[in-house]
Amino acid sequence: MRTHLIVTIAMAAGFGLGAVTIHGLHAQTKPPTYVVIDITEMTNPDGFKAVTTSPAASPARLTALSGRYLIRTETATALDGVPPKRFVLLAFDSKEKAQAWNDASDIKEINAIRAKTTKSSAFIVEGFAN
Amino acid sequence: MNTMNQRIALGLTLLAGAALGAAAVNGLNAQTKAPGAYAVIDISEITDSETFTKQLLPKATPPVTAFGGQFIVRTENTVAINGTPPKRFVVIAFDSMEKAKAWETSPAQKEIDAIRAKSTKSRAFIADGTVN
Repeated sequence: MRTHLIVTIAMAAGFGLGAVTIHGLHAQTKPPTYVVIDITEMTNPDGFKAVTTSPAASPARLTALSGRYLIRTETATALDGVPPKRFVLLAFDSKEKAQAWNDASDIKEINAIRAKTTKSSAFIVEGFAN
Repeated sequence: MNTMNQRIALGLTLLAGAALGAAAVNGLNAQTKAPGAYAVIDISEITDSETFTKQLLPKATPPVTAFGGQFIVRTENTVAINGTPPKRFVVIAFDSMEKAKAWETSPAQKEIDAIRAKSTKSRAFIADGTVN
């Protein structure tokens, strides 16, 4: 009976330790960083398809580069002014991760195709650690 | 010897507990929120800096907060990948498109939009979030 009690307490103490450790790891994050891709016009829509259908643009590839899509749309609603034709917002945990995405050879390749087949701009911005 | 075994067992139990606790919290952190909606404010030029800074900026946050929005980007520091980056760029995250629209149509926000229109060259739009 006593042994059971001790084992239970040890288990609970361990659980707490593990939880606190991981929570601490998550709390230590740098400000998130975002990549914005703003496409005004697809000047060569067929050519641009090579970008959207590329494995480099897949959520799986982005996950491998520690990023995720927040927005990936062609149906932005204007509040004022002309909205983009296509708009993509990618989130990364840090500036370094965003830079690593931008430097990856397969990403460079799709960014180059985008630049050739669309009127667009892309940039990196630092976010808030909310 | 018996005591030794018991200690080892206890140590292992503690470790197992730690692993479980770690996994539980990690799982909580990984639970992604619903995709939600975003408002994007893209300012290519601030034409009247005084109006923008003194009239718009002090009023910009309360309406966002009132509709549960969160500024995730609010910066004049952009690094171009290609093309010309905006002068100032703002992204606000909302729990839903309904919340984003309620924010946008609120009188307080309409007033801010009017100040932005006269003090900047800019545009704004709302977009649904995406599921990865």
